[in-house]
Amino acid sequence: MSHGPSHGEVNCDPNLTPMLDLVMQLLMYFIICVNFVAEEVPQEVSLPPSQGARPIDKSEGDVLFLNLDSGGNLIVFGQKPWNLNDLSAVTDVKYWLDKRATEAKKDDNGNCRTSIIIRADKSSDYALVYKLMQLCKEKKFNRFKLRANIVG
Amino acid sequence: MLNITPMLDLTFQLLFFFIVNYHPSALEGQMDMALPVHSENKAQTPDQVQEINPATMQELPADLTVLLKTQNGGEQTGMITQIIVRDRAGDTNITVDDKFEALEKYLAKAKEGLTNKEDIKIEGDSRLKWYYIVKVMDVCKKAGFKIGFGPPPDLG
Repeated sequence: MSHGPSHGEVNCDPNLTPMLDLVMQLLMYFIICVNFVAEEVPQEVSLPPSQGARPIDKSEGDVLFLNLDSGGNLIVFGQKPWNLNDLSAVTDVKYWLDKRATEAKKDDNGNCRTSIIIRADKSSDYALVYKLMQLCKEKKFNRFKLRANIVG
Repeated sequence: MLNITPMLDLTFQLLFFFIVNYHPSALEGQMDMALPVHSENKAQTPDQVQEINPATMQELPADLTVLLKTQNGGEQTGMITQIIVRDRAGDTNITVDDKFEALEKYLAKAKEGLTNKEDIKIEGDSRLKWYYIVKVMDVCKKAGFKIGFGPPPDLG
């Protein structure tokens, strides 16, 4: 008894090679594009578009992300949100910034080289963003970056 | 013949995982800002934190200040309703419909007569949305200025 294809029979196995090629290419694309959370950036902050924003310099040393949402909440990784409209919360922010500045100076022989990265929501009030900058400035942070979505 | 069915199963599962976790987001960029250093504070507890005195804060030595006004209540709250450029000679109101284009032209022209051709200060009303401040920053950057910020004029 013969089990193999005999002369005159048509082999109907589909050719999977082109499909495999395509699937592998799609897989490669998604692997490359996947962006796991690497920075302390909450999704609820919608950044404003900007034509003047430059690509991020990844070689920055110590950075401190300050996220400000549209409700005036300051969101910092590992801390509960502070509402900058609330005076007692502002005092807590000052104290926390003070501690961060002291730690940064201790690590770097009295210099505060920590870069403050402000990610403010496009619907934030200017008064709150300005207040946040002033708080940082008061605590001797002098390296600032603003984040925005690159357009154009 | 090589049995590729298990590999195909695995490949499709991987593909499904990456498709589900794919959240394309806008490319994030950054803008530099120049702020002067302030005197040191050494609070150890929240009680020792001192209030900021705006009068003692240093300002950027800018010859030009862009004042951005918004409505306090009403339909246009948070949007720019008036742009004023302040220099040593006085205030200039940017009144043209396309305010941003007009501002860019004005700044390019005004820059020629300035002593400090590098710095500019932006002061927005307290309720002005950050979106519009960034738009004006773009215009100032295009005109070749380094940007600083001033306190909201409507807060005194």
